Amino acid sequence: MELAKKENIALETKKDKALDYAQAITMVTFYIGDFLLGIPAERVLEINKEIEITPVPLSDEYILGIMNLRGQIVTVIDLAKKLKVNFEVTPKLNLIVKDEGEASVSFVIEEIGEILEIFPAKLEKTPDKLEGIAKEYIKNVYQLPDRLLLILDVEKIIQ
Amino acid sequence: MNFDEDILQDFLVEAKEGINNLEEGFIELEKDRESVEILKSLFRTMHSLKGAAGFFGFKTLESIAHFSEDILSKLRDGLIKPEEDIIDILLKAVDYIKYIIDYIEKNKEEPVEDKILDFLVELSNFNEKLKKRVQKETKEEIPEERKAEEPRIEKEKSEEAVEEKKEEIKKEVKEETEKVKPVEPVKKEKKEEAVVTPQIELTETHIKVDVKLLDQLMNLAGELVLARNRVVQLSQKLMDEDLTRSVQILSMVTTEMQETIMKTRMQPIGMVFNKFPRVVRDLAKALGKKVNLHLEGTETELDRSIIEAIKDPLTHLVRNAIDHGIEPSEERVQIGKSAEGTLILRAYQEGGQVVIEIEDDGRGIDVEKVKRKAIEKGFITLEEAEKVSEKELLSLIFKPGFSTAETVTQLSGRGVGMDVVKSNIEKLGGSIEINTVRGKGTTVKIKIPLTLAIIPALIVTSGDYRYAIPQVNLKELVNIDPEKDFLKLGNTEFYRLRGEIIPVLRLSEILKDNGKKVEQRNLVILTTGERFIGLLVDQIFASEEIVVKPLGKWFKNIPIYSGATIMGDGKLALILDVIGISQFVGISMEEVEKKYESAKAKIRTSSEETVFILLFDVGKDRLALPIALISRLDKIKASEIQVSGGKEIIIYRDEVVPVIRLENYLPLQSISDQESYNVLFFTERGKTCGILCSNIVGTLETTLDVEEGIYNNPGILGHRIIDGKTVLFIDIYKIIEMYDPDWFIVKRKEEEKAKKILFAEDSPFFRGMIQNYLKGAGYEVEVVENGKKALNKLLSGEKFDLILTDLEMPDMDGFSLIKEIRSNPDYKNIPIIVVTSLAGEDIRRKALEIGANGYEVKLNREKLLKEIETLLR
Repeated sequence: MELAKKENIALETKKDKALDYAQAITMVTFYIGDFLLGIPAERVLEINKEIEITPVPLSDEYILGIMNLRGQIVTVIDLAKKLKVNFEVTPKLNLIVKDEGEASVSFVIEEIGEILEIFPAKLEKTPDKLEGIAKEYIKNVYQLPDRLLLILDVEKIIQ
Repeated sequence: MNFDEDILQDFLVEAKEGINNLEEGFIELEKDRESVEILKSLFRTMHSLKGAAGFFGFKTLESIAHFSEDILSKLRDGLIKPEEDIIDILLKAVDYIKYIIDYIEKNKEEPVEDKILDFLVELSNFNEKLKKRVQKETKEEIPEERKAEEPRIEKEKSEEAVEEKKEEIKKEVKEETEKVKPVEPVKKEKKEEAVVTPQIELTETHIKVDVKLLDQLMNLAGELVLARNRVVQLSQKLMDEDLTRSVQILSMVTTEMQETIMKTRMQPIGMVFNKFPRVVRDLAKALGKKVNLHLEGTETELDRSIIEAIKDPLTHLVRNAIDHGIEPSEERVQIGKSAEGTLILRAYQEGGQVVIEIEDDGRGIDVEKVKRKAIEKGFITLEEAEKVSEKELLSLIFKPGFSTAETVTQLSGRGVGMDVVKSNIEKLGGSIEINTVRGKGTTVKIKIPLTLAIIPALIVTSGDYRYAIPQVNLKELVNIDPEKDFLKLGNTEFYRLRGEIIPVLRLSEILKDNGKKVEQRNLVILTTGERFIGLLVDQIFASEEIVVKPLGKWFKNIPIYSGATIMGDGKLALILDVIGISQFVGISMEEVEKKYESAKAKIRTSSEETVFILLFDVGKDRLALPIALISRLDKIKASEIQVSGGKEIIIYRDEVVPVIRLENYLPLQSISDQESYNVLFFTERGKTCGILCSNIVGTLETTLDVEEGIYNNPGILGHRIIDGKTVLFIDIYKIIEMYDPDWFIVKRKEEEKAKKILFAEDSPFFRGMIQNYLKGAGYEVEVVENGKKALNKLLSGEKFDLILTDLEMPDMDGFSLIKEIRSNPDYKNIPIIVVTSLAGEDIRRKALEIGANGYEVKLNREKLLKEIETLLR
């Protein structure tokens, strides 16, 4: 028992160090209007072009409807509306995001950006001056050479 | 020992799984001696094995598991280290357990063999030894020298103990097995066999599968069906014979596979029923009662998720039946019943539903006692208690905090339960009802859907999208012309379906679909179980079996959907929740009521008889009549009224319609001249007349409680104050008859004597109206206010040709009246017609089930008269 405890502690400290030195995290990026947004690749189930959305009348405004993903009902979310970005998305791609214990959800986007490796150590707090987007759904920001990548708080969005 | 096969099977599956876990666990333990987690899991497995073995009375198995568990607990707590000898003996124990399980599987009983007993003794001794080891290590700090000595003494001692123990255990186990069955003569050869641990490979006949896996399989099967459909279409284009043939096979196999996968989720209800013999036996014993349990329809299949969910409600109802229903033997004998009570659990399929009945032949529910309790606990007032019907009283049992048991026993609980039972059943989309006959027994009837996963549904469209309506909520489909067939009053539209007035909703409006407007002619009549609603849709497609899929958490707050389904072409359709949709009526009805209903007029709950009435003015007087009687409402210009043959008429839709001025027949002031008038059209047997009124006030859903006495004028049934104004309820049949005595006369054969009808009805309004039109049709009518009086009339010896009864009445309701009449040999065959304003398939079926010959809606005069005529012929 003692031994087991020690092991656990050892493991934890290791993890802490790992954070410091940062194995890179893979991010799937995409644009909504002028904003470049990122979602950790591990949360993304797949990206596909099957845009056959069935609207669900009376649902919230940011919900575009539901779609059939190989027999699963997937809720389709209009991220622009959810994030209050003043931009009309023309659904072209489905970014299917896993939701633990629940059915997946899809964020519809127009275009997929680069797949980037980012270093957690270089993540920064969301700046207050960020405007034109609902800040509460942005977990962190990450400075890329030419622009700012906004890391989405997926949990909060699909809560 | 006669175990139920199923339970034994379950046990075996579980035991085998346990053995696997144990074997794997020990192997892992070899690698990691110190792992507390592994030890914990081993201990748990062994513990549950012991418990299960104990439950089945497998004594040897239980003992082996017990000692092993003991050893494992010491290991787990770190009292001893997992030395080689300990692991060895535990593995040996697992081998023996395996052997015993295999033997049980083949022979349905435990093996009685010396080698097992010998091992048991060995195991027990080993355990003793370990105990001492532990004591030594913890209690005393024994010097090395002494330690060397002691074991010798210990050993002698323990060897004695071993012998004693051995005998003891053997005796114990043998005694136990003797009880079970006569001891098989222990074969001599067995003793000679070397004591080798048996090595048995267990073959699996059942496996446990995660339901999620089955769901996934079902999804994939659905996908396969879609792919198959595409291939079929392609092959039809290509017209290749070989291809067509292989596609056919593919098609067949796919269908069969889909069905098989669906079946994996279905389980016989016996899975639940079979645990009741035990429950009933124990409970009856505890209460000193004798109960015979009959199980019927155990093979009826239900989706496993439902099977799981009905376990608890059923258990509760069975307990109730034994605890409160069935009387103790002495009491039963005294009242001439058999000493043993009978409890029947019955399941059968009916339509898309499974009906489960729990029937006992006990004392029945004392409705009076329920009433007293209800008053006592404040569920109803004294005043209400006088009017309340048996059915309503029984429904109080399902209210939280209601229990009629005088002595609250531990078994049936404290009145928590029936409400939970009801809500659990309703959660499954089911319903529950109680029928009870005092002194004869109680039957609780539960109806639940066959499966939550696959349901038959009607596919309709609104705009570009399809929607599915569960078949259980469907009453009928009507092709209508909204322009002509709807009555619009306030914001609510109504449709008149055979005398019943039904609120209408437009699907496109509910869904706020602002797309292109198409002509809607398809009215789907839906039922929520309590009321009917018409739903106007764009198009109606065929009925299909659909697979219900839950909608995500995003849609939880939208009441009108119960899920979604994937259609044959891969597209999605939302499944409409009829109860959710009915709330849309609720809101607008409230608006209507708010508008026209004053605080004084009582609004009754929907379980009472309510009808929609139309309020209108003639001059300064306000009048009312049920909307269902009116075929149309329209406005006409004063100039349209012509006089022809001394009668006022209008030409309406190419038809000459006589106009009736109510003030000519009722004590009303005449209508002052207006530019235009409202006309209520009344049509029967193709004849139409119009009643002139100055103003339509509105509609109101209300009971027909009216006061009699002040206006004793023919044509007036009574009055009531609504909105601070006296409203006269008129008898339109009487008035039309006054206007033209021949209006309703149909040529009928001269009969020697008028037939006599006994009519039980509590509402003065209906009493007056129906009596009038029955008399008008040439019958002799005797009217009484409730079932009790009707029964007294019958018992007094008066002869009747037919009985007409309302259902909801104080003192004795229609159901009880029918039951009583049918149980009386003199009146076994007298025709009974139930008249009601509460139309519902359920009620209709129930009424016919208990012995009614007909079932009619009160306001449908034409049909009722026809039915009477048919039954009297």
